[in-house]
Amino acid sequence: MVRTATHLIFAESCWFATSAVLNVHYQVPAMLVVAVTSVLPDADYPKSWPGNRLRTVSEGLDRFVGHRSFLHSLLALVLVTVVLGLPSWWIFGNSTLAIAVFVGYGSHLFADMMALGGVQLFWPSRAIAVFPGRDEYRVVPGSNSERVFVAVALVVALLFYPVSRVGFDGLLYRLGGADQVYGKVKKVTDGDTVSVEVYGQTQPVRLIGVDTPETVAPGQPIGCYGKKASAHTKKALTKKLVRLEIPRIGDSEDAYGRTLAYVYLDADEDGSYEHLFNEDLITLGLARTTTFSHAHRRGFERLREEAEERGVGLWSACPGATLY
Amino acid sequence: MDFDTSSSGKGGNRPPRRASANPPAEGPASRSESHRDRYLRKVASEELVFRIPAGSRKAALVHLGLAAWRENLFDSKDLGEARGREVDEAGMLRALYRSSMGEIEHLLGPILKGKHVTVEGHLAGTGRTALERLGAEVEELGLEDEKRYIDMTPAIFVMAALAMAVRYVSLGLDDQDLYILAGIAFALMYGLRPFFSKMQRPRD
Repeated sequence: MVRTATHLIFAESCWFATSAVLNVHYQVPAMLVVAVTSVLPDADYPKSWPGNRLRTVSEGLDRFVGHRSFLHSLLALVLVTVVLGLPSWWIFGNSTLAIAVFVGYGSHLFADMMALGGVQLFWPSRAIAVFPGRDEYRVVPGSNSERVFVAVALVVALLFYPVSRVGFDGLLYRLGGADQVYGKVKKVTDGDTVSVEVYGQTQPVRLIGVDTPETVAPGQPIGCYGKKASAHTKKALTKKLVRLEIPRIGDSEDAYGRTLAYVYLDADEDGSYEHLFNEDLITLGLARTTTFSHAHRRGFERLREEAEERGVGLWSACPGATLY
Repeated sequence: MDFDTSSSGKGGNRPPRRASANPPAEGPASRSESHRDRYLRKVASEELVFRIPAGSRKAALVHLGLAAWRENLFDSKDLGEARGREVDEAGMLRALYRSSMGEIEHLLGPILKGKHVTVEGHLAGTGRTALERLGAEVEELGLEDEKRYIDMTPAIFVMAALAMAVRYVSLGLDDQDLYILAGIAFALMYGLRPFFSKMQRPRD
């Protein structure tokens, strides 16, 4: 039998890989759900850790259906996802925990399929599903091959964790680096556009990844919450020294000739300029997020989702406010 | 003298080779009975049944070779891998596994012709066809507790095809994140393709 610790590590590495691909939020509760569901299938074996705690149920399952049969099947995977995952989706209004249930439980089946014994994946059929097909490439529980398997799972987890935070595109933008310049904000045009004086020249700067309601766009009405967003930017940035971070990958200017940049403030007044102002606009519900790829896209989307849930700013004041 | 190697003595006292082609029909093998005599006598016996475990074509041939060797129908020296030596059972098994299927089939062909082979389970892939081609009657028992395996390795190839499709879908959706992910996945799967092929459960 593959050890419980092996299942836990493999399940978490699968979860990091999934969250890297699917851009799911709420990492910590989801990781706990993944951990719990990853050991559930072994409840059909009384000598296992969950089987020991659910002894009566475990002995009954072991007697009637056997180990690595019903609880290790696709049928059980679907049932557990429906029974545990769908209610959490309905209660929290977010699919993350349902996905976590599926990934945690599914990872156990996949890990056992890679073990020498295989699993009855298509139960009630008694055929044993194995991956890979050759016996000599599968994991022998308790042997060195299981230790190698755990080591590989840990490496996968370490590789995918940063990607799960920033996304594949975000990682690419971060690897590409960014140019940094310091300047003084001379004028605030609206919530997401400012004019910054750099080396004696004033240039318009558009904040990357945020979109505040319009206030000065010709031919367009003033957007709901637009004036408040504009007032906040004016209050926070006017005549302030800022650090502009301009990504090296992608366009450095938009269609209107504005420099695309992240604006950092020296919030603690310790000369560090590490406070990202773009995030403030989203956290306070003054801006929506944009859809295109950039280094902080996933982080911004998480903040926007939290602001939306809290109902701050335009998310409560502007009924019918759309995401983009 | 029995050591006459002169051309005049060629085949002088030795019984002609054909003489041994008429083995005694019954009775225990005498001490002087040669390997070939025993072979021909047993091969002639229609009642001989080989019982082998389930497996691939190679496994079936190896077990049949071993069964024939135990019955003295198969001389280990005939196998190239045995290098002309007498071997024990483990050595025979090793030599059989190292030999090509073509070589084993060539040696087993005359022995199996018309014989009954009982398989304790099912022969995978072309195992049954191969034995039938050699003239054996094959009976697969399909035991109650026989384990049947489903190799899920080909799912990798389906994933590779999906990853390739997703690259084009992501171009249509203008999703850079998905494009990078599908590209990495496809490159990985394409690069590791030879390894994935080796991971598959052997059929032959």
